[in-house]
Amino acid sequence: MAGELSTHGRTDGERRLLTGSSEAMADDIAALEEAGVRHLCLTFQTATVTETLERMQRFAEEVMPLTR
Amino acid sequence: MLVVPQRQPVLTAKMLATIDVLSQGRLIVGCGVGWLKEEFEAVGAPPFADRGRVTDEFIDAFKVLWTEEAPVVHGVHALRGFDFCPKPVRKPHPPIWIGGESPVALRRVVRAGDGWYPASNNPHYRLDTAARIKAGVGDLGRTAEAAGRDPGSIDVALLVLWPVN
Repeated sequence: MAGELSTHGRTDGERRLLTGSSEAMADDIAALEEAGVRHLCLTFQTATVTETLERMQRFAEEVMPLTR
Repeated sequence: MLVVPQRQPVLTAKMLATIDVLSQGRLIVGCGVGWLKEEFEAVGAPPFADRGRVTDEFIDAFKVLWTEEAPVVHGVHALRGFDFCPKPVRKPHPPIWIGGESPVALRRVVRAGDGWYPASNNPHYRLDTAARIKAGVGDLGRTAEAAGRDPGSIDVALLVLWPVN
């Protein structure tokens, strides 16, 4: 991806799914499951490997436990 | 995820079958039609305007090559009279997830796919909230029913293309 997209907020005031607080992301995942989504392929890529790994770690530690 | 019309279909089917065998049937084949005209020209693919038809033809060819003992492939890349092995270990073949968000893409899923694999960031067909995705899954279900296919036979996967953060 050439540059990082804005991840929070939108001009229409809605929040893009899988952005924001851990609780908001967990709510999104529950809503997606309810909508019929059975698989999620997620992007963690950033400008550096270090930051990418940190984001993956944070998702695993802070979001995934809320989805169980 | 493959940009299907940018690939030589027989070689691609062979590569995918090899991955399926080596991974003991864990391959899922994501199939997209592509969106960037210049990319098609850069790799010598069939014309951009033909990408949907070529994608359909190549996916059909993958299935014939993966499942038939004496495959015959029609179309612009007509083939006959050869063995194609090994076959995938996943039967009848590795799941095919079809990318795309448009009504045409939904019809392609219903006709040729085991799953729908939309991207979240198409500005023409936004799937950036759970409510919009639910509406899209509803559209898919109606498209399936109109074609006589059970919507429950179609898997749904979402490709979230902005960084989770």
